[in-house]
Amino acid sequence: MIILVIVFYGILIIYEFVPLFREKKWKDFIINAILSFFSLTVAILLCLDVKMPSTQPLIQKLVSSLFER
Amino acid sequence: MSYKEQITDKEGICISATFIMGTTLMMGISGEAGNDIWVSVIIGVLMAIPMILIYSRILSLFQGKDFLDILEAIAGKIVSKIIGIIYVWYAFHLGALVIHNFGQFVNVASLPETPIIVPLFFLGITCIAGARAGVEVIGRVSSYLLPIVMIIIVFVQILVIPQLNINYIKPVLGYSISSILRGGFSAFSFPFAESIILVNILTSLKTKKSPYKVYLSGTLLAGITILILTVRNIMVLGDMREWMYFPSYSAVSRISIGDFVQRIEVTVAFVFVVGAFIKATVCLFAASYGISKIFNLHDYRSIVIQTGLLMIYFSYTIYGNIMEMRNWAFKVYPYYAFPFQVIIPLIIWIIAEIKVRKNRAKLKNSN
Repeated sequence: MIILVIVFYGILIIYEFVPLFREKKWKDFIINAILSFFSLTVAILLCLDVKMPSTQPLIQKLVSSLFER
Repeated sequence: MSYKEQITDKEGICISATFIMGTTLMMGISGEAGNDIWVSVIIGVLMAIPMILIYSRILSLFQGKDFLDILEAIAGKIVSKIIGIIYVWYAFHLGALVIHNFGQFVNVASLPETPIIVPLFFLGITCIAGARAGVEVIGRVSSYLLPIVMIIIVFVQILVIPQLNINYIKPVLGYSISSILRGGFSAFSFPFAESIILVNILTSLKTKKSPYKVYLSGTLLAGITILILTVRNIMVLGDMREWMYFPSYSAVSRISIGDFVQRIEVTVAFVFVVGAFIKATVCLFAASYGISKIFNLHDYRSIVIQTGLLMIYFSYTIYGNIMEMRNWAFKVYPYYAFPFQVIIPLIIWIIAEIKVRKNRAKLKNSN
């Protein structure tokens, strides 16, 4: 599964980054690279069955502390 | 970065109505008001109208400017970027919630053995394609699909008539006013006031003076549809409605006419798909566009795919199960969304009014 993910991201990189590099859109290139790094990391962690923390309990706690009587 | 795409008023109304109906058609409106929840829907629409007018006013005060430009004009560069980040988060989070709702629906209603990531991924990919195509395509798609959705809703509504039981809606106003108002607040925040996200789309209207018309027409169309469907669900399911994860789907699955018109809930599933697709696409567009404005990128399209993939992964990890999803959507979300939907827009509107008036006074004095 991890290999599939890496192949998928490899194709994405060719599809997305090459045109940005050719057109010298460096800002777009860097932001896209950062997002891709995050996205690839999360994808690999999900493939490894790592339980990702959810934001919902945190927000729920915050809302309860503010509004619950 | 400038964004030149334009949509007509009709397309704007279709996007607004489909966006607002979005996941509400799937999840329904919930609250403590029991069979009086339809009154809560009306209260929700009435509560939303002043906010809709405020969103429209913000757009019409700065015609032709998009949301982040408006923020920059009234609050300066740094504050506008901070508020921009807040709204990018809200759009991203809302998009993930919508994708997850749809995934849960597919998982519970038709494909229980399939891992939930599969429907999430496929809806997400479609949304990425939609958001990359741009506002014009989103507008055209919703103007093609909304009439089909409406025809399906009317058709199903006629077929369900034999199942309606008027006694389920009685006694009217049997629940306490506070329960009904709480239900109204829940309906206000999910879905009506979520239309703050549409501020990013309605800056592309061809007629710059029409955000009022588009916003109000879209909200009223969606409000009336949601009201009719809520009344139908109450009259078909009675008290059981509150126990159903997807009340519209359950209500329509009861249709059986002459032993051959059966299992037409698949048509309702089509309505859910359209609603979730348009809503998630608009959220993804808003999030990507916001990020590109914050970092001054050349084109928002260069980051749509990665933002969309992150949205899919986020939607996968967001809830453990369907009970968590319902608890969050109906009990936590209204309070969580309140600052995004009411407090920040109110502050923006007040500052915008003061700034515009000051500028006008300056112009008058200089003349």
